[in-house]
Amino acid sequence: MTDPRCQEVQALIPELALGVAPGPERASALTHIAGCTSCRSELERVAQTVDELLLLAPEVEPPSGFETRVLESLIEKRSRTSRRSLALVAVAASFAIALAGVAGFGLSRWSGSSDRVLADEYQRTLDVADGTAFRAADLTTTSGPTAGASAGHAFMYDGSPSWVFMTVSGVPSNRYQVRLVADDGATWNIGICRVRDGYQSWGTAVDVPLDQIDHLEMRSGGGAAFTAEF
Amino acid sequence: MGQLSDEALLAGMADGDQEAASVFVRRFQARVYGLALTVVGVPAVAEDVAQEAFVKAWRHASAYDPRRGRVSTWLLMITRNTAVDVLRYRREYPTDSETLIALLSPGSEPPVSDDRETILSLREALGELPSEQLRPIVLMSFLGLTAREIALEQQVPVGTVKSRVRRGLRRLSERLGVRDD
Repeated sequence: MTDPRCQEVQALIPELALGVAPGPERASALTHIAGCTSCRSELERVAQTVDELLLLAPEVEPPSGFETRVLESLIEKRSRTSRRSLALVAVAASFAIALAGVAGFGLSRWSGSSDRVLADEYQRTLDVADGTAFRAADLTTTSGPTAGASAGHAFMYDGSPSWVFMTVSGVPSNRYQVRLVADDGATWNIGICRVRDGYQSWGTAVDVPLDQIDHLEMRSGGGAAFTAEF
Repeated sequence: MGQLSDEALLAGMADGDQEAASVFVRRFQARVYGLALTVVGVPAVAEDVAQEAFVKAWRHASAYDPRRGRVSTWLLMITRNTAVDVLRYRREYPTDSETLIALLSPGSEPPVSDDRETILSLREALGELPSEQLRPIVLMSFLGLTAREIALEQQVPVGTVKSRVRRGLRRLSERLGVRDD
């Protein structure tokens, strides 16, 4: 390890393995690691050690009914078609909760009447461009030692026009093919997102049936992959 | 079904096998919820985190690679990432390094599981680490704090935190027999 860049990157490896490295440093280091066997090996070794540390957390039985709630949640996620047919008010309520979070309010602050106000506002937002839905999802890493870590957010507006917008952070600088994948596996390549210095905001209008989209994928030629499940 | 391997249950859950999913959740729920509670400190929030971790495991089951580690560590890593996202969002850190260290090194024996020997080795190895290395390692591993955040909290240079963490992790790796492939 005589390369000074290796020394810089290896100082960051514990934070990389834990997915807490600051965005710009993380992106730059991961770009280096993609082409450096020595640093990649070090990252894998450290990742294995820090993963094992998590085994030390004490076991605690969750509250009664937890298993049932998880299974119901899995069934609900699988039943995408029926989920999409839920009444707009239900969608708006979720949107209200998301907005409550963004605004920094506690959920307890939201009463039923607030939800209805937000539902009305949501309906008006959709009406502006003949929209039928506005959805948002976390963009997460799907491979490597940081799988599951947050990498930004993706948004879809199903209207006239329909569009997709993403914000990414802490992602290695590269060209990423962005595509949408439908419930039945059909795919649409919707463009190239060029990430520089770890950050990017990117969007495009699309002519795709967004109500059938299961997830968005972002992949580089080098294999780095990210996904947002809608 | 209860005798199936963790990998087989995960694959079954990913394929929509409800019985496999049920056994998988029962097998890991105490560990997943326990880790979530250790990180976020609030039972209701920990339950949401644990539930989300199982959903993510189901979604990303195809990305699980047995060559990179056991299902248990993979699932706990997902749980930790989910919990840390919540901490960062809430901007609340309900526990400190001393409390964490006490939680991770209880006097009681670990439960019988495939990970029991690893847990015993880890406890022993952690007990041998100097406090200056142990504290930043647990803050980084469980609460997702960056070296810069730990440096601010402990009022030491960032470089010092990074080198302490690296030295401590190297000792742990050696103790656990983790080698470069």
